[in-house]
Amino acid sequence: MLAYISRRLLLSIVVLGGVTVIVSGALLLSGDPVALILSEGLATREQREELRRELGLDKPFVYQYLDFARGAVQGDMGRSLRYNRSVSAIVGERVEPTLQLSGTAMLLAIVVAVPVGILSAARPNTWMDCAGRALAFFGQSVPLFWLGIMLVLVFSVELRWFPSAGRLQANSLVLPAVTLGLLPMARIARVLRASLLEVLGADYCRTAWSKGLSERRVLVQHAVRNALLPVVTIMGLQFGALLGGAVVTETIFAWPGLGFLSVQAIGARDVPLLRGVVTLVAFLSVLTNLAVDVLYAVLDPRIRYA
Amino acid sequence: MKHTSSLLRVTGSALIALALLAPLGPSQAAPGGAAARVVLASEPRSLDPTIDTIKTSLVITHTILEALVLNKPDGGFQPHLAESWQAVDPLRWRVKLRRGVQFHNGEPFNADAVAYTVDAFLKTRGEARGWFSFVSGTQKVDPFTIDFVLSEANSNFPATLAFLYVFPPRYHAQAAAEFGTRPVGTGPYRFVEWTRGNQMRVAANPTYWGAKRPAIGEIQFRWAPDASARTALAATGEVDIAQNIPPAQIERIERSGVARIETARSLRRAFIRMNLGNGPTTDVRVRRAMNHAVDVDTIIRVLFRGRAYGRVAGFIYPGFEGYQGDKLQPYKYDPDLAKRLLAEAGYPNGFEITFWHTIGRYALDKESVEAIQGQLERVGVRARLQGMEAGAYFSRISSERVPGMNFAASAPLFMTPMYHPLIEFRNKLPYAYGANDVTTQFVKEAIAETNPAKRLRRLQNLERYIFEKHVPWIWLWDYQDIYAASNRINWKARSDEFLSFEDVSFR
Amino acid sequence: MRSRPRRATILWKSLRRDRAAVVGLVIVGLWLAMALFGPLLKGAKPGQQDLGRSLLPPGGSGEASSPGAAAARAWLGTDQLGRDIAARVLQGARTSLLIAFQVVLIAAALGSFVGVFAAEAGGWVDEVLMRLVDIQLGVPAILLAITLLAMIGASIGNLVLVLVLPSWVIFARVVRSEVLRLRELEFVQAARALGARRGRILTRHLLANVTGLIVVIGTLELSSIIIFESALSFLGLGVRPPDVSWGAMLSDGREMLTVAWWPATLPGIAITVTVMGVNLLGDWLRDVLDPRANARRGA
Repeated sequence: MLAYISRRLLLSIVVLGGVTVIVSGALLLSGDPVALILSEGLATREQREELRRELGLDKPFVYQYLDFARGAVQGDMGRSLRYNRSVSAIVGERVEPTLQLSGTAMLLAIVVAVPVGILSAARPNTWMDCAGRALAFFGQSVPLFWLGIMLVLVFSVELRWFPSAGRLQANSLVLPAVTLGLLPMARIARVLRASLLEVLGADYCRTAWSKGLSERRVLVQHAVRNALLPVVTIMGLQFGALLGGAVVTETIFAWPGLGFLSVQAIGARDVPLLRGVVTLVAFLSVLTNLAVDVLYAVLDPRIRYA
Repeated sequence: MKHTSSLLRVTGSALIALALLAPLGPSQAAPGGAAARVVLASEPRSLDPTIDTIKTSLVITHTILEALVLNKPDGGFQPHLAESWQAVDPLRWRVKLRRGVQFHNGEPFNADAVAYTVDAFLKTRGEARGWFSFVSGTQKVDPFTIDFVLSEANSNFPATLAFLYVFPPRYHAQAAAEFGTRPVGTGPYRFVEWTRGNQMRVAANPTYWGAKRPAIGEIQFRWAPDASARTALAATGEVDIAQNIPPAQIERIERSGVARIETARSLRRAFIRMNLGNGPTTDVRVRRAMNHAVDVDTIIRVLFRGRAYGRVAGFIYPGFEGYQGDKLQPYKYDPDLAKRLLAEAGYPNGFEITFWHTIGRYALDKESVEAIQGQLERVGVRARLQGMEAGAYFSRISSERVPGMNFAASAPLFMTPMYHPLIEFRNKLPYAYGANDVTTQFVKEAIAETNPAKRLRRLQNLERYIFEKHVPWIWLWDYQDIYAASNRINWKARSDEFLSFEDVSFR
Repeated sequence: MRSRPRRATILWKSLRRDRAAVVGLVIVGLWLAMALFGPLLKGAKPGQQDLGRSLLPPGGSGEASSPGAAAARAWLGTDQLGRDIAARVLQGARTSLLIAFQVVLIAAALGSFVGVFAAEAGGWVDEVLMRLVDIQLGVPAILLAITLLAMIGASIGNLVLVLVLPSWVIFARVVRSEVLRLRELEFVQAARALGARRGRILTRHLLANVTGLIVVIGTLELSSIIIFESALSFLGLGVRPPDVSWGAMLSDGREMLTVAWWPATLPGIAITVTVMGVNLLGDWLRDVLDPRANARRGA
């Protein structure tokens, strides 16, 4: 078990290293950040060269990357070009809103998907099943940026129930969380239904039926427990996707999280900041995957830790 | 069906948990005195004016920090933290400072603070780096008199002081990079708090030195990049001032009953710059043809719904030294003339040209550019659009030569035409390639000229030369700045995109 | 060889029972037909502007643009620049489907190749390739895509490139594990024991057996690529004018939404309907071709 976890940990470090190399490499293609900083002013060539040295941009790529990696391990991801503050400080302020949004979206997804999935599987091919499947199907097909815009149109512009943007009031969270939660809700509901149907058809459930256990006990004691495994997996996968979906959702709702920050950093061509955001999001997503893998191993003793 | 109800219970309690997770709004009322609530289009990156020079950020910075001179709402400037100034010789200006002014943290305002600030502006690696590159240093004469030593003669020097926002030396040095997150100045408002992404609050400075005390107890700033969201906030009375209302949304504000529209003719003027060094646009006949091919009036009528001023002529803004735009004859929309001119220049079938532009930086920028592309196509000019986010756009136009043409909406850097970004006074901005040897010479002479009458003549000659002979741009329109203001306040818009809070009062 | 006609028959039979699949097939077929033959239709061109016909509601005809010409009816209305939305939605279908098919074909080819190669080579080659896949899956795809597009610039070519990146790994992973599984099966073992060459085993037995799987994943990927592409275009980092894309139309129309609902709503409906069609088709293909995929891929 310990060996398995440490192997997964090592793998996570490899992944993070790879991601940061790719992003840092892409930044090389992005042109000259110095030109951006000094563009609107009247800087001289000497001032530009000086700034280039200050930012360490005169060194070869490998050194630039190693500088970054050394700093990042100690929590220092350099200085933002456009904010002139430490990248770690800026992204630090944005972690909580993003986690709050994606956490709520995930919670919402589970709260809706689990009953929908169970009801669907317990009464296959009834109207309940049909409605549940239709909801899941719709959730899977509608692009979330469009859904977000339509929700704003209906619930904030027309009905004025919720604010259309920002994070100022308590109910600001509702529309973005619904927007972001719909896709994972759909996925979880579908997986839960499929795996429940599979489990309900399995031998031990049939035995339970024949022993005369009530439908509810069979469902809760045997089926749901066994069906949870694939659901946990999909939740882990979806969490990474949620962080990605947050980019679009936060942009639509001006939610001050990492996704919104990344789009702003791109607009401003703030290369170090963008690298910081991507690194942090990759870290969060790797961490979640690791947690899910470990959880999975704990839940399912059949897994070999190799 | 029994398990349905238990599932409902689970769902219910989870929803309650969800509600508990929600953020607690920090929107308490202002302590003592009503609060004005303002929504701007973008959140500042920093309140340090050496770092963030975007107007929507300066709107807030300006309430906390003050500069040596103050721009007037309708052009021109007046003494502020500086009481007077005079040129001792062409390279040395003596500035007398106001006495008895204190920073919010108790530090005194004096020559040392100004010297420190000039140093900070010269050393910054933020956006304002280079803005004072014509200053080589300062010398303190006495605690309230300071000399600015210039590296070249500059009769516009006093106007540039409108951007020299003074820092408190001790606090600025100690806060370092974090100064921009909790600034201290001499202004009518003190910084209170900034919850990133949510809002910023500033409160009236009870010991403000000015004759006019701040009229409102507190200002709350928030941000909404989406124009419909800003409109909605104003239309529901959730904010008192909303910036950049799109023309199409004006009716919504007017129908709301709680807010009204306030407008001002902006100092921002739209142009298209053409490449003078390469390609078909090196021929002045082609550049004239391009001017005749664009139907500015229709664009203003349809896209701006009449909310823009055009068609403009010349580059000097109304109210500025040398303005004679009302005497120049704007280019007329005449596609047939355009075709003839193109044929004369050897392009009877038109040509292809790259067209760079911003997306979402200026009102209706993408839409106007696409409309212009459609109009150019009718005379045979096929424009290949390359739209960019503002950051990418400025990065590229300042580091590369624009291959064909680019859309530019520029406002003067300082309240003087010589700092027009498109002709830039020493031709150092790489994108100021509307300039040629003739304009550079004109500007150089005008800047060095101290006799006002001669300066005026030089500027007028420059204007005529650029508009009639040189034709480096396609002249378009001046913007109208459109704000929504709630009916509970008195407030007027001004032309330089700043918000005058000193004149706000509650009805 | 023998499996092909049988598979076609199975498909046909199940299609007759599955109404949802028929709906999906019709939707996708219609879009494909419109994308292919749309440009042949007479009427408004997608890029043709007419500021005199700005924001006509659906069915409106406005005034004639030039004297003598009859005022054409805009069935789905016009946008701010007076361009015909119906023509633009058609053109958008062309762009979206073209990009999505290209991406899926490239990703499937690349991913399957890497998957088979990793499985066959084993050892450190397998390890390195699979870690590459992990790296790719380590960052949310959209974040990586917008970063790359911001760096290398937005164009259709670059868009295809960044869309292939998150997609090929899905093929690689699934194909690799499928090949590993099939290799242990009797008929492959038997072929090997009979002395068949490695290349022959690969092409005849393994690839032939994973084709169904690749088709299933390909269909599912197709729908996520359509959404992904429109999201990038919506953020302004994908398809740029004069090319037309649903995502970009939506973002153009968004600002005007409270004034005119149609420019942003109609392309949104187009995306949703198309993705639904592809998903219906994908579900059906999966049920028929790969019953196990349900539990494995989970979505």
